[in-house]
Amino acid sequence: MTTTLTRGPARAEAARTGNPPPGGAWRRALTRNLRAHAFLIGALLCFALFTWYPMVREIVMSFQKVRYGETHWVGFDNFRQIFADPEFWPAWQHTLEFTGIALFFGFVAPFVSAIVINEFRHAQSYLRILVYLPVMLPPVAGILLFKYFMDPGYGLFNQILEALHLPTSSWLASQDTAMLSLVIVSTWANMGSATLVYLAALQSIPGELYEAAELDGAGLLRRIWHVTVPQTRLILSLMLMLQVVATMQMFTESFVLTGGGPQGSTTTVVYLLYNYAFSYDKFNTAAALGVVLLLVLGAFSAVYLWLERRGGEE
Amino acid sequence: MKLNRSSRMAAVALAAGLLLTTAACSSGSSGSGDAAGGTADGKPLDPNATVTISIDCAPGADQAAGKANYADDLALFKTKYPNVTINAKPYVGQCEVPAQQTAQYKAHDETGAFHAYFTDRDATLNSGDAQDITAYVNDQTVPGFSSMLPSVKQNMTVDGKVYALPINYYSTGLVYNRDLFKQAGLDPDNPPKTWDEVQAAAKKISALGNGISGYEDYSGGNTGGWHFTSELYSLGGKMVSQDGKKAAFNSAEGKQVLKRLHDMRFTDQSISATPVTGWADAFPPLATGKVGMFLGAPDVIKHLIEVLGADAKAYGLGPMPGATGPGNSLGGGDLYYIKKGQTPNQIKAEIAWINFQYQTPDSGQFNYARAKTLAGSSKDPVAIAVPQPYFWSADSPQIKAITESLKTNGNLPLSNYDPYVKNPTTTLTEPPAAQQLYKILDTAMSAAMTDPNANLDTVLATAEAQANQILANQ
Repeated sequence: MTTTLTRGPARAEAARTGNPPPGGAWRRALTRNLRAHAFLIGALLCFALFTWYPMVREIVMSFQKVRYGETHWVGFDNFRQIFADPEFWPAWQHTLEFTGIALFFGFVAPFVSAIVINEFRHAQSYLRILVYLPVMLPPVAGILLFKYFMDPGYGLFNQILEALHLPTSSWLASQDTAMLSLVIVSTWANMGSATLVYLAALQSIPGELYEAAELDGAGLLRRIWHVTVPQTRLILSLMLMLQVVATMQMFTESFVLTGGGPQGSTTTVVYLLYNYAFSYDKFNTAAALGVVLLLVLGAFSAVYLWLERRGGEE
Repeated sequence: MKLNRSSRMAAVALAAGLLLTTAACSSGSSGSGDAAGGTADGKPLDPNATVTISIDCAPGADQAAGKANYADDLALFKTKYPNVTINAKPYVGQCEVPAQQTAQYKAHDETGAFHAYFTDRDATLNSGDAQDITAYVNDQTVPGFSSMLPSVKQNMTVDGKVYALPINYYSTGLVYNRDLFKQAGLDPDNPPKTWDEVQAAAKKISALGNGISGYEDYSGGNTGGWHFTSELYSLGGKMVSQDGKKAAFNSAEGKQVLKRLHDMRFTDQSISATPVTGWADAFPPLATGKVGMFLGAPDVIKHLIEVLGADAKAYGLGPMPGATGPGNSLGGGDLYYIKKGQTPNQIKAEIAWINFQYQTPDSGQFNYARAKTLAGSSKDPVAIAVPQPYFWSADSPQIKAITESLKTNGNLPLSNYDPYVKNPTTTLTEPPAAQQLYKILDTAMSAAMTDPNANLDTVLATAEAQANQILANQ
């Protein structure tokens, strides 16, 4: 927009005099928008240094190997190594398992809680604070709290279950329940932010739509389905995409609570990447796995953008 | 070109942005000293040489006693070498977190002399930052160098070249709670020496109830595989083949390790249902008298007393249990490497400091007389007299002097550790690619202690396949 406004008069002036001022159009545009360019260059340099350079470096490293301080080009060796690793496919399986369960809980629970909070007129601000509290807790502290809650021996959860005469669970100590336990922790820790986003989206829906639906005899569920969901579709699809990307990179919960176990059942792709880099001292193999993850998440994002564009055109 | 006010502001913003970026780019480490020269002539540092050196792992804010000792040592060293300036980098918590160290290696951001565990030898050499110090170390510069244990020398030497100097060496044994032994009707002066006896004692201790488990073991954070190795060695098993190219733990001994743990957890119920997945996780229940036995080195007892405030008299140390009597034990320890690119005098000064601080009886870490004085006036517990093999042979003058000093200045009941001291076992070194193999075997240990239906043969075979891949890619 800025470019269009400034270029117009410049062209007109040049046409009037017949001789453009010395320095050329590039220089004129640069000096005229110096402030904007200065800020832009600063931001671009920061991106280049802290985002793009590491990304390019990672790609380069994935084709190299370092031994006794010397770097060698090894082609696709690192990639071959990770594809042959017996931990590679299980790690993807665990990642998708976590993503699937976390999406179900992490996507539905905040949306439902946002709808419920939105219905309260008086206590809404208190409820918003309550739901956001876990987000303010340092992640590792919050996660560690669950380690005690879920202890199979003396944990709070099992004590509650026992008091209710319900069967207890091994929680994090069994490979059957460990992943679900991580999802519970993750949902608890991240629900607040998502709820606030949904709440903001809900509050931007015009009240007249609900009134009209009510006049047409729509009940609560039909109002949600026919008014709330279509009106928040953009936010919902954006949050879905962000959650897919975030959950596929799950690491902290697994690192802090289970150490990737029991029996490797919570070793996700990012946890495996961490192992390559910091437990196995294989930075180049870790870089190769990072590149694979980047490609997968890039593909997800591309599909999302394509669907968004198609949805917009329709 | 004259700039108007807004353009000037923009130019300033641009310049500031560039300056910040440049500053971020140029955060490389500065050199650790002056050009002090010198030559690699195998002689000790000339006391008149002016040198500045840097070293990591100095005690930090959380170690009042250690910090005071260290400051005192720096002052004492200064009287010997008045022209040497030491920049000591303190730490809080664990001196060396492996993940942080890996990152440090990638950034080539070590101090002039830098700390590493025995297990990190390959990672350290692969970083390309370790200096060959063969020409600098001998009995003159490092008294007692030739009487260092072969198993220690193996960890500081590669292809006949010396790269590091040891500062600590341990062998594992059986840490046990003497009070729980008494309560369970066991003899605290005669701890188990075989794994059958461990299993039987664990059953009796866990029968005490009240959330007490007879035995605990690791199953994650690389510590599971580390203890698996220790237990495998104790039964006479091997981790890798003779040439180091193939895994050798899928053996009768390996299966025995896992089966016993599985039985203790699910049949005897003498191992608790709470998995111990991290190094530090094991200690709070040990310190609070909830665990009867645990595999560990003498430093575990020191940690329980000094860091967790446990009762100093409650713990005993037995030999590593074996198949029919005390078994082989796994040795480990810490070293200091010297960074490449320093002047000979800096290297000499660093060796002199390491020797003074960590390898001289009645000096530095072995200054027990000073520790005794400090313990007398300190509010915090100080544990002196937990015996260790250190790193010299038993008949060396160094070990004799240290043992005498411990007897005079120790503040712990030395007799509690007699079963460990009087039953010395053969100490074996860690396998190649140790941390990677340990990580893989975490899964096997986890299966044995968390899955009642685990097929331990399959678990071990899978671990073997993974380990073979790691070893093939070395």
